[in-house]
Order: sequence, then structure tokens, then C-alpha cells
Amino acid sequence: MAAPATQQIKIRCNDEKEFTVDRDVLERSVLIKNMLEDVTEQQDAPIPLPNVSGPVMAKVLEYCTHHRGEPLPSADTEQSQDETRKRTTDISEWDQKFITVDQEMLFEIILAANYLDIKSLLDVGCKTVANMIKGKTPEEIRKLFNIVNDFTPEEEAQIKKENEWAEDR
Amino acid sequence: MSSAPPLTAIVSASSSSNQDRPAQQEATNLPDDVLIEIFEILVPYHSQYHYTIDTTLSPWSVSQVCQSWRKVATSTPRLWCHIGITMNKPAVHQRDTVYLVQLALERAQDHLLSIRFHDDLRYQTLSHAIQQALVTRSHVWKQLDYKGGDLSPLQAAQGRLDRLESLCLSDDPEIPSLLGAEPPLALFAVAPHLRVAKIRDHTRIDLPWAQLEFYEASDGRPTIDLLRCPRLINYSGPSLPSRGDIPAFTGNFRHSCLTHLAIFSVEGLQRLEAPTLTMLKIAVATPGIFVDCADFVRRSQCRLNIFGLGMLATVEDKAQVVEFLRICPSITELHLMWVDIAPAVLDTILGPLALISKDVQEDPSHLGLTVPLVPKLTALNFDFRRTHANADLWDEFDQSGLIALFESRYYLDDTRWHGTKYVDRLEAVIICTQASARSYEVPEFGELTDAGFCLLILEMDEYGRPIHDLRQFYLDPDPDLETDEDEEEEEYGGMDMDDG
Repeated sequence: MAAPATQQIKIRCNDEKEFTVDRDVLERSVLIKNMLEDVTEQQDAPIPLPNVSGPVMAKVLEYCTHHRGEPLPSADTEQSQDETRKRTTDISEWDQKFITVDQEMLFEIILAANYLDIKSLLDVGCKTVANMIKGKTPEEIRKLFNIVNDFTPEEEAQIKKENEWAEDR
Repeated sequence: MSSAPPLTAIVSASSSSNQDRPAQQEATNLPDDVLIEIFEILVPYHSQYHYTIDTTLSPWSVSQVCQSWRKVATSTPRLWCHIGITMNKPAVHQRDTVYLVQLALERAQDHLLSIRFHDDLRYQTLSHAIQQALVTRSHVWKQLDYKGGDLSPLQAAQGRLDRLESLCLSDDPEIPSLLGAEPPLALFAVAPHLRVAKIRDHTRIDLPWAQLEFYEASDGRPTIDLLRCPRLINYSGPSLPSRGDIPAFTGNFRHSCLTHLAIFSVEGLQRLEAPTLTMLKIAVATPGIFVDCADFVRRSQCRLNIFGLGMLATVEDKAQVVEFLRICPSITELHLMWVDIAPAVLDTILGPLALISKDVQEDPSHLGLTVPLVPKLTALNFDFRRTHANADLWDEFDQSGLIALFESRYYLDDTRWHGTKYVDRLEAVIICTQASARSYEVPEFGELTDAGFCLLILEMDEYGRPIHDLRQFYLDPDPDLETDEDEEEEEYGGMDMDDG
């Protein structure tokens, strides 16, 4: 007997790129899942995703496809579990390979995961950025992400005090 | 008829307002909640180090990058609510530690605090000043992990511990227990939310016993503790023999909540009934222990999943071992602790397990066992604190039924891993190690993981407890274990891509 056909959903990104995706893959996104649950009628028009570009969405879908079928974190996930998850910077091998992208794409993926509400992908992105920051001085972090030091002299003085050692006094 | 709005309308309405943001995203443009998530990952909660004053670590470091990051970091109390101070670290005396602690507390606002404080009597003045700063926020202490003998600076917290949930008091070996003429023994007696207590060498401390759910004691008698803690779920008793001055309770008693019990010897077990018990660990195995354990299981009618024995020094009667295993068909994990003994002794325990696992596959009626009673031993846990003394034992075992091997290692630096011969029959090896151990440098591990073998190295905290949930790693199937064929078919999950 043939397996029941999986419902396919169309989405359209902000650069007009469209994807037709299995519903269960797309439902890794809590945002889209909730939308699909709120709508009872069959939709032919693609779902517009104005905050995500085609190339980024392709990456997001690659992630969702790989992780399809895995349980989604529920709203009542125990706080301790959530904390344990946050406190480790471990990233699985596949996820690590997946997230090995340039910085611009990395931040785009994080923003897309945040917008689409894909918690596990957001986690992978945040852990990757955290791993990049780990062990670096503020100056090194600025250099890494091309961040301008925009502190006022007052703030600089306060920071200096925070970093003061006995021999500086 | 459905009145639901069209999908496109919902999507448009839910689109965020930053639709026109530039294509290139920068770290400074990340939404605050995402930045906080990243900063939080970086806070070294589990470090034993004095991270509260280490401004090279998060949240200090990230708060010194730029204005927007500083604003986010300093206005997020939960980034500052973990206070860790170790008084004997030079930095504590080279920094303005009281100022930094006060600043961290200020930024933590009224968020619940987790405090780790390791005292050192050599620096009493500074130590008291820091503790006084901490006590000003004792109404929001959630966890207190206090190492040191002098609790008197915390006296002012008495009666204010309304939010305290977890307490760990441990002694520094160099500091005598409970200093001072009048140590504040009743300091923690009133703490309405206290559920977890680990008390080391502070037997006189009064606790709200009736409400405790987790109690780890380094002294006292299990029978007394179990009686005064009727809500205990997890009890870990002294790792040394009970002191003579604490009388043993001699009557029979029943505990209805206990699921995990770790005790030094069978002393308390002989009069206990614990029908809900699933884990039993006994630190020192004495002659006839399997008979005592079997009696306990029969009397309690409990279903043990985990059974642990330590310091096994006598050769047990195999018939007794087999009988014990027969009435405990649900045991799936065996923990052998402090295994520093002759291989023949261990073989007495492991032999019947191997025999049963193997023979039952061929003949379910073997040894009179019915299939549902077959022990399904899938995990073996060696607490090899003295690995270097036990290295040769590896060659003595043949546990073909196992699929996972747990091993706790504390001194990896000068030892080699001797489990290589099991690689072809095990699916996973889980190494627990202290965070400080240089376990990652063991060369055999690299070879194993290169071969696709599942090797998990789990860091443990300073109390030897895994930071991660072992079961989560052990029981979850590896999602990456797909065949090439599966991967090919599943690669795009039926996704078509069209240019619009």
C-alpha cells in the first residue's frame, strides 16, 4: 500500500524565491506551524516570508530536513533541561558542518531562526557565535565582528575601573 | 464554515518591523534576546574558578565591547546572578573584589542568585566583607554552595532565606568544622523552599528535614536520616562508617518516596522497606551482601534498575548472585565502584551476568528463568577512581551483552585507556571526567572517533556529578546513524526549489 502523500506547502522569500516543502519539514518552524494550524482551508498561494532571503531559507530548510521528525521542544520543557542545554557549547558533528558558513550567512541564519522560531537552529547559531567569542578580549571581539568602540569617556573610565588590578591603583 | 483569516494575511501581519534592515547583518544588529542567549552561553556557570571577578570572562567581557552590547549585558539580571568566589585565588586579592561583587549584585537586581563561595581563613577581613555584601541579598539566594568552616558572617541571613532551594555545605580539609564559640547551627532551619541539601561534615546543622527531597550526607546514620526525611526521593549517605556517637535506629521502617539510595554498607538496609526504590548503591560490599540485598528487594517489592557495589573484597557465592539477579529482572545498569580488587572477585559478579545474557538467548528456560526475568544488562559503570591500579582488569572481562560502558576517570593524565578491545562489541563508551582532567588528550580516543565509534566525554562538576544528563546521551538514538541510501533519499525531504 502506498504511503499517504505528505502535504506540501509553498513559501515565498523576500527575493521572490519560492520553495515547495513537505509540511512536516516546514513545521520545524513554530511560527509557520502555528500559522498552518490557524488556517483550516487549503492554501494555494505561497506563504510570504518577508524577513528571509532565498539563499538563507535554503540553508534553513537543509537544517529542517535533516532534523525532521525529531521532537520539538515543548513550551513546558523543564527549566533545568533548558538551562543544561544552554550551558553547553557542544554542537553535533552534522550541525557543526552545517553551520560552517561565512559570518554574514551565520548571522542571517540566526536572524531567520529567531524570526521563524526554530529553537534548535537558533541554539546552534548562538553556540557558534559564543564559541567564536570565547576566550577573546573585548578588543579581539570588536575586530572579529567589525564592531566600533563607541564608548564615551565616562564609560571607558567605568570599564577601566572594572578591570583594575592592584598594581594599577 | 471556518472564519480563519487567509494565511497570507496572517504572515503579513506577523512580519516584524525590521523588514527594511540592510542585507548585511552585523553582530551589533542582533536582537537583544538573541544577544542575551549568546552571552548566557558564555557565562562559566560550572567553572570552579572565581568567575565573578574575572572580567576577562562573560558577562564582563561582552559588556566591554560596545555601547549596545554593554546596555544589553548590564541590564540583563540573569547574566549576573551566578556569583563565584574562591578566596585563595591570588586575583581575589589583586582586584577590588568587594566592589566587583557589589556591582554584579547590583546588576543581578532581584533575580534569584546562585552562589559559590570558597572561604579561606587566612583572608578573614576580606572574606567577611564579601560575605556581608552577599548577605544583603540573602532574600534572593536560590542556591548556596559554601565551602569553609566559618558560617558566622552569614548569620545575618537567618530568617531571610525564603527563596533558598539548594544548599551545599562542605568543609575545607584544612579548616576545622564549624568554627566559633556559637556557630549559627539554626541558620538554615527555616527555609521554606529548601529541597536539596548536601552537607559535608556539618552534622550538627539543623535543616528543615521534613521537606527535603534530596539529601547527601557525609556523616550521621542513614536510618536516622531516612526517618526524619519522609519526603526524600534521593538519599546519598555517608561514605565512611557511621560514627559511634550517633545511635542507630533499630526498628523496621518503611519509606514511601525513596527512589535512589546510596549508602555505605547494608546497615540501614536490613530494616528498611522502600517499595519505590529504583537505584541501590552500596559503597562497601560485605560478605553475604547479595543475600541481604535479595531480602531487601523481596521485602520492599521494589523494581531496581540500577545496582551498584563498591570495594568488593570477598568472593561471593555465585548461586547468591544468580538468585539476586533473578529477583531483580529490571536491572539494566551495574555500577562497580572503587574496583581495586582481584579480577576473580569481579568475575564472580560479572560471570553470572554474562552467562545469563548469553544462555538465555539460546535457551530461555535456562536457570529456570522466564524470558521476562532476563536481566537486560546494557550498561556497565566503572567508577575507576584509581584507574592506574586497575588497568589490567580490562583483560579479564568478556561482557558480550553490553552495548555501553561508562567509566568515571579522575586521573587520566598518567594512564592509558584499556577499553580498546571492546570497541567491536560496544556501541558507546561514555567517559565521565572532571572538567579539569586532560582527558581530551588521550590518543586512543581520536582513533576511535575517527572510526565512527560513539565516544562521549562528559565533564563532571567538582562533586563528580555529570554536568550533562547521562541518560539523554545514552538512551537517545544517534540521529546521524543513517545509511547512505537513506541519506540520498532524504536529502531534500521532498523539497523542490523554484525560482519565483
